[in-house]
Amino acid sequence: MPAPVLNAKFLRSFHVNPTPGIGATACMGWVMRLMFEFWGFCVNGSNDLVNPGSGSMATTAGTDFMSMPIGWASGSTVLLATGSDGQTTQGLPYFQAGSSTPFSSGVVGKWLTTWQSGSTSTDDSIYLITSWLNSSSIVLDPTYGGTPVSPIGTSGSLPQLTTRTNINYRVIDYQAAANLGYANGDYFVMQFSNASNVNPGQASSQARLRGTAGQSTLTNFGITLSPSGSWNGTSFTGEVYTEVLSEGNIAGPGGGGHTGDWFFDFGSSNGYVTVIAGPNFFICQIGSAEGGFQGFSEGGGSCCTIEIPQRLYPQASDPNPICCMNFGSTGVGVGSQVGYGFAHRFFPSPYDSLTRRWPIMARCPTGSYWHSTPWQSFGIQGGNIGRWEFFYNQPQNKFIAGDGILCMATLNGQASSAGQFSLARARVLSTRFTSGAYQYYLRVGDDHDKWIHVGGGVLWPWDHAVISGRPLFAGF
Amino acid sequence: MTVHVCRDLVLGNNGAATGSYDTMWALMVFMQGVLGYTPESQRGNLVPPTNGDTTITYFTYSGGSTLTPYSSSIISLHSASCYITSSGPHTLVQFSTDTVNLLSAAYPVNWPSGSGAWPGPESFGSFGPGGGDPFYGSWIAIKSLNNPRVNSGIFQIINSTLWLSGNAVEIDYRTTSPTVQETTSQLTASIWLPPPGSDIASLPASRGIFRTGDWPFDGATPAWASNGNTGGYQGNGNSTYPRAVLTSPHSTAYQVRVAIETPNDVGFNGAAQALPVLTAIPGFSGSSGDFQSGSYAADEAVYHIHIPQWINYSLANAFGYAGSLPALDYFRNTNDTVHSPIRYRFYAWGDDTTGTCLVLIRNANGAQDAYYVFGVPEDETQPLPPLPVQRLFCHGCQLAGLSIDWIAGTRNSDGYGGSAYSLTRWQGPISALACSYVYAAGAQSNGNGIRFDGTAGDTPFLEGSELIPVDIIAGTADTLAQWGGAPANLFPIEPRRMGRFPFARQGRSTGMSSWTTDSSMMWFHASNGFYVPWGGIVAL
Repeated sequence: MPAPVLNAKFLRSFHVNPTPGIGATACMGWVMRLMFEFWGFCVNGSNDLVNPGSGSMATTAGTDFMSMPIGWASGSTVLLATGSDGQTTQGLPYFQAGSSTPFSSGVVGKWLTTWQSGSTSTDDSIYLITSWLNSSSIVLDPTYGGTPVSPIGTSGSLPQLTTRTNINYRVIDYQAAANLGYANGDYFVMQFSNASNVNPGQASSQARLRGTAGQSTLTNFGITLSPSGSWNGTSFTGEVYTEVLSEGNIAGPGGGGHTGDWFFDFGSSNGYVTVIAGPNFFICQIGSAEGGFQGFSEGGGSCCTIEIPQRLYPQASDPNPICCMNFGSTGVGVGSQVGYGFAHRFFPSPYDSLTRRWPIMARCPTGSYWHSTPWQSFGIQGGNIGRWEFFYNQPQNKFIAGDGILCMATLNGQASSAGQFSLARARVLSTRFTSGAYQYYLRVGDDHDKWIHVGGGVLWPWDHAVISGRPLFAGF
Repeated sequence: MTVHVCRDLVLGNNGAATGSYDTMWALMVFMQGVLGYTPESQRGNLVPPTNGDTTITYFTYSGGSTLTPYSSSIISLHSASCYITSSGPHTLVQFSTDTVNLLSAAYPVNWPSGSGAWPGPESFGSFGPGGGDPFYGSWIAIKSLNNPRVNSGIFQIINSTLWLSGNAVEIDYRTTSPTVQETTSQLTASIWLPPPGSDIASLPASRGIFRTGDWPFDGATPAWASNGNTGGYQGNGNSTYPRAVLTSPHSTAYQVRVAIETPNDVGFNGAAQALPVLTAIPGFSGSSGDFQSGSYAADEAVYHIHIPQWINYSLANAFGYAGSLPALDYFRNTNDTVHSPIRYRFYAWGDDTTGTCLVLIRNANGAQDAYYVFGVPEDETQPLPPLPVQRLFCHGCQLAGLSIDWIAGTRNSDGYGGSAYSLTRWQGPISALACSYVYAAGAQSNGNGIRFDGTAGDTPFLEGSELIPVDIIAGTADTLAQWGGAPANLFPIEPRRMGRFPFARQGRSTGMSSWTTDSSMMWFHASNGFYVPWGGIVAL
């Protein structure tokens, strides 16, 4: 069964300016507000300019999909302007309101969300407003989203805006949202209403994203999965799966590392947020290239992935697969121990109601079980990482990378899973694996199958775009 | 596509099977008699039979020692001719009387009453053996389209005297399970002499099948000669080592060269080893039992994946290529010098559309079990490569004492590897490996794989034992030797998934004993999580 097209969209290295000095809790509010905006509008937006796209949140009525400070989603200090008459022109940084005058000079430095309902354009994203021209026209930094236009085939370039009309848009002040008064446990519940496009018959699975207490009020991050999508407005019903809190190291038991918080209250630096998401997956990565002022850790980036993996068992045996991983300030890589690092997902089981750590297996390009695998440091016999073309087929002009499947076996640090053995339950669609020895930001693939090496042998979906002036995947 | 299975054929009834040669014989019978390969050419001494049809002659007895043929019939390799029936515990191959009349063959016209049947294993006057078993001790290769995993394969004929009146012979069905009868649609059958080490008696020559000598299975190095070309591959040209080129039923009509390789061509560490091995390597344009040698020239077009023959190397001056011959039948001790004739079992899986074939061998202690596979992969990656040869692969054992395992390796470590053909046509053969799922983690040895996980058992998701496919991946190893002093970077690196590993699947080893079927009886667990299709009959 071929893997569904990911239809990824990108928020590329969103820059959180250190000037406001908002602290770690506000940083979590800021990032969660970005997650909400990108998922609810850029990926899943309808023509509703105020509320997230239909089906993107687990609402039963109103805004019962979230518990956030008043005004967080669409208060007047946060949502500054909206419209549906946006226009852009290929290669130009201007955003023009066709028939309205929504923009004041105060929008400079704020952020513009753009989308079209049902679109797969990577122009649907969030952009820094760099200049105000008049009440109908502003200038954006297209590299935050945009579409790379390559002068040499698919090799990539700086992203540009494309020619579009009737674009929906919102102007958001994230700093205002970040400075609202948060409480421990504030959350919103996202919903994967397109899950059945990956796995026939699948329910609209849900995930609650929650800021939790760590070093400060809201510095840790938790994900609670609901395979059947049972949110009733206040809780999940009929299924109780353990919340997946951020992990502090990728090495596994005994590996040391940070406390697992996404943010810390020390240092001073610029923060950067990258979101990569499509209808059936969501990746958010944050970090800093410097010290850790606003809580963005310099020691290692934080990130989470949530996705609908491709079901490999019959529907009746595994009706609603959804999985995630969640790291705080750890960097990127696969673990030395099986089932740790970026080579695992937390995955609820329908057979024992537990959310367990499921290791990822990937096809080994040098066969089956050499003395070591290439995914981490590439110490295999016979292969030679010094030969650059190892994963590259020159006659085909193709790069190969291993897909990942989720299995269940004995894991160090996890209670025995006797009776739960699984060889291949689901295929992970949002991550692939290559040698960790390759340099960061290696971009490979073509057509709908494009990837970027984020480090440690981990590939995430990408579109060959080049980012200039901002660190990509800071902290990794 | 129909997958035929040869179940559990015993080689070396007298404990004298020779490994490579007996397996070569069985493989060639399976390829021709079941999968539909046709002979192109053969060369060397003691080449296993490549004849097609079996002629049965009927005689008139004129007294004394005079037997005069008066008619004959043919059991054709390609025409349906028999049924599978049973009588109590006996499994019978019942021929159509249009094909053969066993009673007439056993009793010549005017045959003296009370003289018993002829011919057969027992002596009758000057006519040698008698007893009414014209096929006694022979093999019968059967191709069943309705029960290809049960009734296809190679069976030994163990009695026909009792069943002459029914125009049937009894075969060793190799199971205690009931015979799966096929009495409405005829199966294709062909008769073959067994290899010397598996003979159960000396056989009369009247069947038209002749054996021309004996394999030296006494532990000595075969008394055959290499071609004397010290600067190149030793097993071609004037070499007297047996080999044959067979043409596959695949749409591309690719060929397979089945050969006993000389010790000089399968050596290790710069020295020849004591005993030859079996290879079955696909390609095109073979003739006189050999493929051509290639060269790295842009206009070269020598399309096969026999690495030593293509490169035309000699271990004497290019021993880094040791391990470049995926092989079968390393029935030897680890010092490469001692060979003990043994009894062992032969299993084969084959597709009669593509000609792809997988062979397993095992002996009593399992220590030298091995597999070999060649042809085209299943589920080939699309679009197909431009040249047919780029779809071909072979994969087998390069090292003794491995057992059957999903393990890739080099000539001096682990040991399973193989070859395919470069996408650059003048580049020649490159590596091909079995590519399975491994933990995406740091160093993992074979024993740490999920197949051996302590909790492995049936999965609750399927309420059964779970199997997953393995791929064939070309161009990811730059050497198949890798030992001290060996040159690296012998083969170009151009990775591509060719397709799915044929027939076999990867599963758990824990909780599944070797050489038994899973609970569904549809899969057979060889060892170490290596599963192959089965037909619901346990023959152990």
